[in-house]
Amino acid sequence: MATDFIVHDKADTVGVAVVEDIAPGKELTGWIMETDETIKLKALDAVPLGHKIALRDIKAGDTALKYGHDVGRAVADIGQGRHVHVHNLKTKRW
Amino acid sequence: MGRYDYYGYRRENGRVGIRNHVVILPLDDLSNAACEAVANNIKGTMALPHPYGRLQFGEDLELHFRTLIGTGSNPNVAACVVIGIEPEWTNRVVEGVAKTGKPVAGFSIERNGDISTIASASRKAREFVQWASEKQRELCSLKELFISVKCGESDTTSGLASCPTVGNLIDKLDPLGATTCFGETSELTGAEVVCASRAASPAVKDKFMKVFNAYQEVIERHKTSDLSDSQPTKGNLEGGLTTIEEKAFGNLAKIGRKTKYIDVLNPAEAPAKGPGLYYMDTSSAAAECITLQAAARAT
Repeated sequence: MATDFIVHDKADTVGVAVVEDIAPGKELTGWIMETDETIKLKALDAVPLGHKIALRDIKAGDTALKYGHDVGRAVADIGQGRHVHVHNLKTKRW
Repeated sequence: MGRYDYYGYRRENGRVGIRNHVVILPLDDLSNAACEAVANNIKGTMALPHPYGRLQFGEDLELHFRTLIGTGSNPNVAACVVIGIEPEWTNRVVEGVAKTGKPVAGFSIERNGDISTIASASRKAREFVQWASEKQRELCSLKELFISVKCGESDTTSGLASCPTVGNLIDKLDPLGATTCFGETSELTGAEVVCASRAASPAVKDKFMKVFNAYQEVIERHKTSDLSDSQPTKGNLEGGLTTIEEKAFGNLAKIGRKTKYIDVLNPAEAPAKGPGLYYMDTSSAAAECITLQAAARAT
């Protein structure tokens, strides 16, 4: 099955959309590069190409992981399958 | 011919260039127009205008001279014409470039005027172009190659495809004895601990963290909640990058998965510890970063 999103690392809590048509309700197939695993996920938001999707529920204040590392703090609760971007994720640096 | 040999231009000092430019190098912004006029007169030359060279002093002025002399000394440059507003500083660049043994000549505008300077410099540039056009390329080794890497406009695919691909190249070139260089201090923010762990020794690691922390001190004084929308950039955000940390991990993928950097360079400082990967303290702005790496002789 075609890959809808890619995950860098098994530990990551966000994946990257690599198709243009992710709409709410769409059943998605993801590929974890580190382990070469396939995972399934239902989109709850439209996620533009190149943007991130939550792989599990992320609570406000939680750290989001990508590349297996800390890439910022959730500033709102983010449900699994939701679009993750500047509206709900913020750098810890400045 | 070795499997990884390629054709390059061997310069007077033994260094290897891939290209064969005759550059017309302004000492200062006042001399840009004259340099561009010479490049227009003599096809096959390239003017390198810039906005610097006046009222600088101290470390800033030293960086200016290091950048200009390094640019003229780059092995991609066959010969170099320098034009400045006055002769003393112009000669400082000429003498710096002359250490490579390549043809270089300086011209100053004061007491000559633009038109006369352009005429004299054009005649010299014509001579250099004819001489350079007769240069033959020869087989060269990867051990003589110096490659620098720099991100283009980033989005999330940079960390998925382009940067890991470039990193793969570094991992393959390093054991073959090539010299490579990365930089972009500001875009390592969030990945600095991982970057520090890629230093070849504790001393190199300390040197990296010192440079990184010095940069952070500047940012701390001026930061806004998002560095005024500059990190990540508007284009980065549109492409799906949300935070500087995320951008930094994509950026760092450019140095591969295993290669360690053997030294930390000042801006435009040439590597001096033999083949290997080097980190240079540079801005993430493309023109600035590439200029500094080229001035360090990257080809």
